[in-house]
Amino acid sequence: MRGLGIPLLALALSAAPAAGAAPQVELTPAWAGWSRPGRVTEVGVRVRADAATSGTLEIVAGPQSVRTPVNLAAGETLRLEVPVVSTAILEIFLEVEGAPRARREHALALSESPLLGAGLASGQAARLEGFHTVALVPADLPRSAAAYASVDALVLDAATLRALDPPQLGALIGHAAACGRIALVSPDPGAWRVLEGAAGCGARMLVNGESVAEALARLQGSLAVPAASAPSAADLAALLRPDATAWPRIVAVLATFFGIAALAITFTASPIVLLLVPVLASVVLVALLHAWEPRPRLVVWAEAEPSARVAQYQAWQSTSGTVRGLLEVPVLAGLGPPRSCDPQRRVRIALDADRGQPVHAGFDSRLFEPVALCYSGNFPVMRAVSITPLEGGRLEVRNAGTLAWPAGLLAVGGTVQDLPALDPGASATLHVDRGRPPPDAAARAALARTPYGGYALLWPLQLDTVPDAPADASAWLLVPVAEPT
Amino acid sequence: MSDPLPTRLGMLLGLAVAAAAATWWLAATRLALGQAMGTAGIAASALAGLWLARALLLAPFALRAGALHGRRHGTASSLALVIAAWPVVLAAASAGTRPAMGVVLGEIILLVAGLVLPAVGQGLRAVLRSPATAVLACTVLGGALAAAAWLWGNAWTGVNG
Repeated sequence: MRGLGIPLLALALSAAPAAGAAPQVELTPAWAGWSRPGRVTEVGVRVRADAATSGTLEIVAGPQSVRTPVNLAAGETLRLEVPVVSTAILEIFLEVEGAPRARREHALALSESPLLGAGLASGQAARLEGFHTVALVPADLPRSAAAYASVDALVLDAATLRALDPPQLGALIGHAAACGRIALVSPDPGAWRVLEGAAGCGARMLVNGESVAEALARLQGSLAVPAASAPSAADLAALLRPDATAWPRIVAVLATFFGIAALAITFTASPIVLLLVPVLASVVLVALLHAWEPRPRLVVWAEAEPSARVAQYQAWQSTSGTVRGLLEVPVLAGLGPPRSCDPQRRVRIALDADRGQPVHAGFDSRLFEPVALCYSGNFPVMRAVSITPLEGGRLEVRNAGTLAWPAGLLAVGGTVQDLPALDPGASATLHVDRGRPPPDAAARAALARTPYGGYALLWPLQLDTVPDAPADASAWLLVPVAEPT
Repeated sequence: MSDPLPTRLGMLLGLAVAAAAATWWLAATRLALGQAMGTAGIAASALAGLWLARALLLAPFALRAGALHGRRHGTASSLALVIAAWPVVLAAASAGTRPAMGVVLGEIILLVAGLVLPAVGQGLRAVLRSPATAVLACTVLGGALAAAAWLWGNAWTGVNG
């Protein structure tokens, strides 16, 4: 267990630098080594060298690998917390200058049953029907919210909460914001307020109790509340159409070639000229394919319940290759840890060891082939929506919050209509039968996510927190309203 | 050059085949992109079709060109038939997953055939002495080679998908 300081894996890799000392690599998975197949977990990596060491560390988890340079002075230690896809076997490779590549394996325990993480300092047993319980100490909890995907429910007592370090607390708050099922046993009032204030889904997934039994009973009760379904790529297919800019370019190049070749046939009989035309065209085509910069796209789709304080977002960063080979996609800071949108697709993520942050993701790509990185997370929001049906097929949409709304769209009855900007307390009256067909892909996606018989409000978002977002990036916030409020 | 016709004809045939393959490949790719489907299979089919079409044309064309116009003009026209499609081959290979070595090997086979078959045609004419008989023999032999290429191409496609 992490907390006892006993690493699950301690590798004395034989790759010896010039001084002859072997770097020590310790790998410590979160959740005491438990996870669910295909989910995300976190591994703590510690590399300690007794002599100056320079090389590369790579962690391979199924089709995903994370690679980071290792440059250590004598006695220095590198510590990283790396989110990885949960696979039965994690492979660790260490390449040190002047030594052959060393390889080790580490097995994760993958549960087919839902996992209940139990961080109870008292050591009390925690059982939830249908769940497999994993006993945890504070150090077993991850420092990345994405790694909470490994467990389906969590019960923590006050002592365990107090023992968490700030990154772990941040990740726990992020998990609560992402509608994670959490039960707290006799939590400190301050901690409860923080978590309840950050919790998504109206804090319906966050419960507490004075005893372990009470907290578990409430957690059991919360299982009747369905988890919010995040929009999938299929839901937003209209928005996520792959960029096809390479196609007209190829058409133009080939059409030009055929035109020049036809002119050559018409005006010259020289075999050398006739043979040179396609050869030169091939050279030009290869040069163009390598010179064309792939055009990246970014689509961020966020959803929040009316009056919720947190919105959940999914982001798709896509681009298309132009040549066969490695396509490096820069990771956008501010959107959270990236992953390949296609879980079966091989991706190599390069990590900046100093910041512990991913820098770019490498895909094997080819001409016309789209590749996509996915991100998910949450951000604070306040859209207190009140919708009241009126006589004559009219609707009153009121801004019941304290912040002004920008202009947006209202989706109702399979059509959309413009929603004016509304100041706090202001309202707009709209006629249900005056809607129009969705004018663009975002409106079509909003209709696809509108509850049956309900409404949805859609606003464009500014991507101020993603400084390196592509120029034509688009972001949207949807507030579905199941029934009049 | 005393007889430029065969080179132009070879180039024209190569361009016609390449243009047909490029049109089909680009249209199918556009449809696939619009429906978020994979494009590698389309590129592989285009490459296979382009290779097979040139192989089928090359056998009778190169033999006859060698018999009618001699080895030198026959070689130039045969190479023009093969090389005219290279820009399309390169673009389709960039979009496909077929190993680059396989694509290169296929082109080398066509180039070697383009060098050898005109010499065979010229040799047949020298042996048979009658141009008409030589052209007929080249047509028959070319047809047989094209049939063999067709069967081999289908077998290759069946094995390699």
